[in-house]
Amino acid sequence: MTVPRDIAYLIFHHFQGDLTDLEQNELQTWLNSDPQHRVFFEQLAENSGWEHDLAIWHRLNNTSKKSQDDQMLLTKVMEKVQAMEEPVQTRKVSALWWYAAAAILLCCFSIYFIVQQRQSDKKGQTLAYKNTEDIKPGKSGARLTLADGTVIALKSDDQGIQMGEEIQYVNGDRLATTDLTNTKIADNTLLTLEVPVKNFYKIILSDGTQVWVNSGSKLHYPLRFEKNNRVVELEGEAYFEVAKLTSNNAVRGAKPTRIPFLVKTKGQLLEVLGTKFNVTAYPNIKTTKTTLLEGKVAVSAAGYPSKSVLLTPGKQSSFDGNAFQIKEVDVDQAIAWKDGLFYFDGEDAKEAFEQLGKWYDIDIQYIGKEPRVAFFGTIERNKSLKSVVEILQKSGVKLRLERKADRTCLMIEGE
Amino acid sequence: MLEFCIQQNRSSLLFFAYKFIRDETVCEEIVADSFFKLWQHRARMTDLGHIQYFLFKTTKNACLNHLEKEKSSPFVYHGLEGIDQQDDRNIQFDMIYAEFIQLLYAELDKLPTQQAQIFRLSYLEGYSTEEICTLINTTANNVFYAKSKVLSHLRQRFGRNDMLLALFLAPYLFQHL
Repeated sequence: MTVPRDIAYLIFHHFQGDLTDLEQNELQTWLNSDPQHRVFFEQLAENSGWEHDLAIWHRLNNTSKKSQDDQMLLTKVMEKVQAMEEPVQTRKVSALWWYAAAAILLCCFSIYFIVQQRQSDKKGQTLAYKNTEDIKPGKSGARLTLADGTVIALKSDDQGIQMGEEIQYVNGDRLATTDLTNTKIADNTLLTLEVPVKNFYKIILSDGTQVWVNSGSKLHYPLRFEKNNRVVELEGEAYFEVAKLTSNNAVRGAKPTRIPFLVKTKGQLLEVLGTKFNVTAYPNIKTTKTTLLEGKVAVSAAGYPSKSVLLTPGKQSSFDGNAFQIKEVDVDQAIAWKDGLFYFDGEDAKEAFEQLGKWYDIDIQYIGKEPRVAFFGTIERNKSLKSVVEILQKSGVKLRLERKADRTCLMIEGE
Repeated sequence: MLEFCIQQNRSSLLFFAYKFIRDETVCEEIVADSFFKLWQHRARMTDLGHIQYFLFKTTKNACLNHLEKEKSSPFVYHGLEGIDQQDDRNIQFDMIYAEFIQLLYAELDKLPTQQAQIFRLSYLEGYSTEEICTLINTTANNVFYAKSKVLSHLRQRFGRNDMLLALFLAPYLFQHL
């Protein structure tokens, strides 16, 4: 397929008379491929409007200011892009107000906690669980599936694995599977890191990008990324710290460009250049959530790039398959799981309970309307379920464990 | 990527838009809009040719919409082709033509400085010989000399196609020689 720029080149140099035989053939082929092409060519040859158009070109395009004009246009376009995002973003509140609110919240929380502590000491412990054995917390662990179907069970290791010349543990240990050395893995074949329920795993991809994959999730990625193309696919939840990469084969005259990193989830496409963000896209939950900690990401509906939204740090987008909603969130809550914590944030406790359910592989049920839980604070994930439930009860949250059809269920009462 | 597309296409798009709408400010706005739309649809682009086609098509539609809105505008261009023929082939020809003018314009840069300056002043900016003499502080003889030099340079460049050259420079020749 010949592009307009090439055709223009051929015609121009045909007039100049310095085409090679090969190029002359190319031009003839184009002219013969469509009678209209020849008509156009002849019109061009006869047209005396050139001088006029040259004058127009001269007026519009000052060669000496070209890069400056290009830059101005780029700025203008980016302003339009920003302006489009503006209406969906929440109103900016002065930082001072946030500090004030945080201070007041902290005071309330302390007083509330002390009062609750005294009350529960007086009343004594309510029965937390009936006929349930204690459930141990999850731990690091995952399975790695190669393209040929080989499944490797990865050992529990908080530092995780690393894709490099070969696959190995970050601490230097080789993978236990011995026959891996004989298995030739092509660079671009997709590997799958599968993290079962009650597990999590950390992986460093071939470009240096670090990914923490949460319980019950799958990450599909190539052993080694292609030079200018980084794409992974996620089912479930993961936190990414994307390495900044710059293409070294920059086109003549152009600045070296950043190589984007794409995360595909069901229905959503996310593009970043190098930043930190969390994505939650479990297959059984309708909403895909993206929370940005640093840098910039663009999220769009898969197949509908016009429905795209640019996130700034501290913002979370929720995509229900149709539209994006953006709100300001506490990013610490979104990535608490990565640091081994459950993060309860008062009324927004639902998220924390969902995390809890996944981590101990138990069901969560709410009694009453909304789970309004007046508990602020973090609980470490490495505790047994009973200890976590006790901490919550001591803080005044009404909940109990029940055994239902071979599953443990955490019943939470709304206030 | 957007930056690269702008570097590659801004000049020819602006020229293309200007052929429809003789208002530089409006054209710049339309071109900026086209790049914004490109950004919105970036995931769908397959290659640079596709991007160029998208930009031209979008710009053309925007120009036609603009003309539609301002029917009374005196700056309607009736040029190489009928405006209502909107088929892809015309867009392709428009792209080729814009690229062609760009090459031709670049050719002027290959001329020696003063000759190019005189050529620009007289040919592209419409100054008379007398005005040029005052502007660059030279004699009428020098101006004529430079013009004939430019002619022979372009004649060399356009070598075999003398008839075309004659057509190209005819208005100029009649006016000044």
